[in-house]
Amino acid sequence: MALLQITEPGLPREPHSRKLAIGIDLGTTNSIVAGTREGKPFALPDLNGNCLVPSVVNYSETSVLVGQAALQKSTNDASNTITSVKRLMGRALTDPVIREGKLPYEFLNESETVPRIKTARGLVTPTEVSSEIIKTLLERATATFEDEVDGAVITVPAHFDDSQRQATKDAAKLAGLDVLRLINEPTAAALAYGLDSGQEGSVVVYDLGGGTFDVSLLRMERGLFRVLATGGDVSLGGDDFDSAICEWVIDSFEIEDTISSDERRAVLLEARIAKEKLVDSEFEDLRFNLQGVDWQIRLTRDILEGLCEPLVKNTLDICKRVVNDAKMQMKDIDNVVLVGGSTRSLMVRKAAESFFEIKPLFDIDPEKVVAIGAAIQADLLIGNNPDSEVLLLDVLPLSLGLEMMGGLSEKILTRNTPIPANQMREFTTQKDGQTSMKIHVVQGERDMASDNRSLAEFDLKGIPPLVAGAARIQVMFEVDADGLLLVSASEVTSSVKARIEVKPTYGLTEKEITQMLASSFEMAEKDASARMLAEARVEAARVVEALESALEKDAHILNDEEAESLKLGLEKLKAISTGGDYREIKAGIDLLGKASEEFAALRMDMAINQALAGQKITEIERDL
Amino acid sequence: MLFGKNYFEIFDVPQAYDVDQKGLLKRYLDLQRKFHPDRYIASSDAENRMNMQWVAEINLAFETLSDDLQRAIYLLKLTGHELEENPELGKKILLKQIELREDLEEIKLDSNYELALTKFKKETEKELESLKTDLKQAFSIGHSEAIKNLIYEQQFLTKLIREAELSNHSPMGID
Repeated sequence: MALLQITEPGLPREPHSRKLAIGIDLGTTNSIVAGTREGKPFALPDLNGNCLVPSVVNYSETSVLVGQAALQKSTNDASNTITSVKRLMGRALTDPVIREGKLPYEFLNESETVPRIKTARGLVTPTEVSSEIIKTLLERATATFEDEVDGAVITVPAHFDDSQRQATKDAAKLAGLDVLRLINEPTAAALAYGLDSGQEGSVVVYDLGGGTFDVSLLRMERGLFRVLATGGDVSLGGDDFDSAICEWVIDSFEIEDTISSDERRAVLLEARIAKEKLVDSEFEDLRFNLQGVDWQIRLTRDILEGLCEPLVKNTLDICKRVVNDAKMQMKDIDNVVLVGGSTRSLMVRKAAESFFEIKPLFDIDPEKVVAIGAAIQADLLIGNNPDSEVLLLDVLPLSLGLEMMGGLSEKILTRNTPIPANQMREFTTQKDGQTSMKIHVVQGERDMASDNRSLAEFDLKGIPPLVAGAARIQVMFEVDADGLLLVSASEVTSSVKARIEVKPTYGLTEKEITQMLASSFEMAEKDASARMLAEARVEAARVVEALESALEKDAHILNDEEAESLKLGLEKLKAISTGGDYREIKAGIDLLGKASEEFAALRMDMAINQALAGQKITEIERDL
Repeated sequence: MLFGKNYFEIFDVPQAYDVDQKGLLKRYLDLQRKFHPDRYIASSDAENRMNMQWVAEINLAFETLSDDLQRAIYLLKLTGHELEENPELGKKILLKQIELREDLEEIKLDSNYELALTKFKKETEKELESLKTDLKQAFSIGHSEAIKNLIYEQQFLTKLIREAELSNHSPMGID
């Protein structure tokens, strides 16, 4: 507890100087929002004390229900109740997850890339469904803190590819939430344990949820979190344990050929309950009435462990690969953090302990730990702890490449490369007079492009007709700090530069998002433009503030004329933003942004040179 | 070369094959602490974009300089030499490579797999280390042909070790 409130002389402490930032764990089954109060992160409960919001959305003609209320509709109104939408995020309509997932919803069957689900309230995309969940979490935060939320950190599985990350970010945008950063779930868990507090060490985060497994290896050094390597399996989780028990029951009774799908579901449910009870007890008796006959079978802990062993071994094999990827050895691991409901299982804990030869950490609730870590990072990014040394350095989860002749995938940026990352590759034409080239961007580790995830496909047109091999086509990959990719291509020998920028095929376009925002169910036309206006003004204020503070510090590197023109631009934007047209404000922001590019470049150069000079000084000091 | 600095200049280390890895990491972490996008969240878009480019360059530079093989290739490039896509290797080297590959295939069938694999990896790594010493020598006298050949050999061995690590015969029990 702070006994003294120290205030800088001449700077009155503003009551609202702290900004409100939240962390969101958008889970497949449940979602959680966490916030920070007096520096302490915690998961936000509802009025009944439940922190978990079931990731379920129900659409009816008159309402949209989210969470527990929607979950209750999932059995009798299955086609209008969307569960596990996370599995659909960033997927194409043709994706096996949707095609073969035996989902109870009806999809609009058009040759579109983005899947659209038919509901009583009209067509919805997975991004919109997800945004409903985010809205609910946002409302909970606003109600708890009685204040507007300034920004959020949202977690995604480490294995999420580019379109899945983009879709998640778009969902937040639709919910009217400013995303400070997307971070990986396992990384958030490590942050929650505060493993950064001064010490050095390597941490394995073992995250076994209901349907997925993720593992990350992090290295901590003087407040820096470096993700060295990640791995996982998108179809391995606690649900597989239930299935293994279910199959064992069916085999034991020899009813494989006659069991109905309803009965199978009943067995599966019993299996899950027994599995959870076996954390505390040595055995459970399972009872069923199948095909009019009463059956009983005893599941002991030994049998359970035998059934789950191959699955647990799979997770440990993946751990081994990740440790290898990081060019480390088992003995280098200092901590193991357990995340996800399935790590409540004693067997998983024991297996992790004997594999890494360390007692794993699990004292923070494994279901809340990710949201809590996200809240800590959000509070830091929004600027509430300016003295913090903590910095998170992340890596690319999956390799990014281009399809080459013969269908092979050529990796441009490999998995586990630190992000942000840029890489340029040069190609040439195959035929005389070739004026266009197909560029197909894929993500994944497989050798054949078709075995990897297709992210985007476009034609670079306007290549000057030259002899084969004479044109020089540069393809640029840029991955930002959220792990999102931008690809551009240009032909460089000619003075004419053909250039195109692409966003992933399976995401929504900027235009679609704007349209959705404008036509959002709850918002009348007026409200929509009022919100656009409010957002544009906030953005303009941010730009003005950033440029003013930059000018205050570094105006001296500009000549008088340049400085004057920037100041004029500033005043102009300030004037525009008091007006009522959000389009005009946006245009003003763009204009000032372009005008200040040169200034930004000069400042960057100066900062770089200062950093290099600073290095030399410390070296001299060290040598003395 | 972005921002007018080559990788060695970014990390302020002498442009040579030998690089002090500890110093490199320290410098990397210092640069990240100063420039990482998380530190620029409140900046203008233009500055954010610029900063992103610079940090991407720092990352690439660190990846390159902290890896012995990549650093060698980069250094060779700085001196104006490029590697060939399909280099002609000497007969002796080719034969040795075929032999090593056959050894690894046999180990996969070995009943004493774990032990044999560990031994194989150790020997290959030792071979790689001795090639690095040779490479250092070659760089110090600036013999670009020798440098190239040593790089090709190391590329092969690195790939082989990687394959050995990924080979999936390992029955690691859990008890």
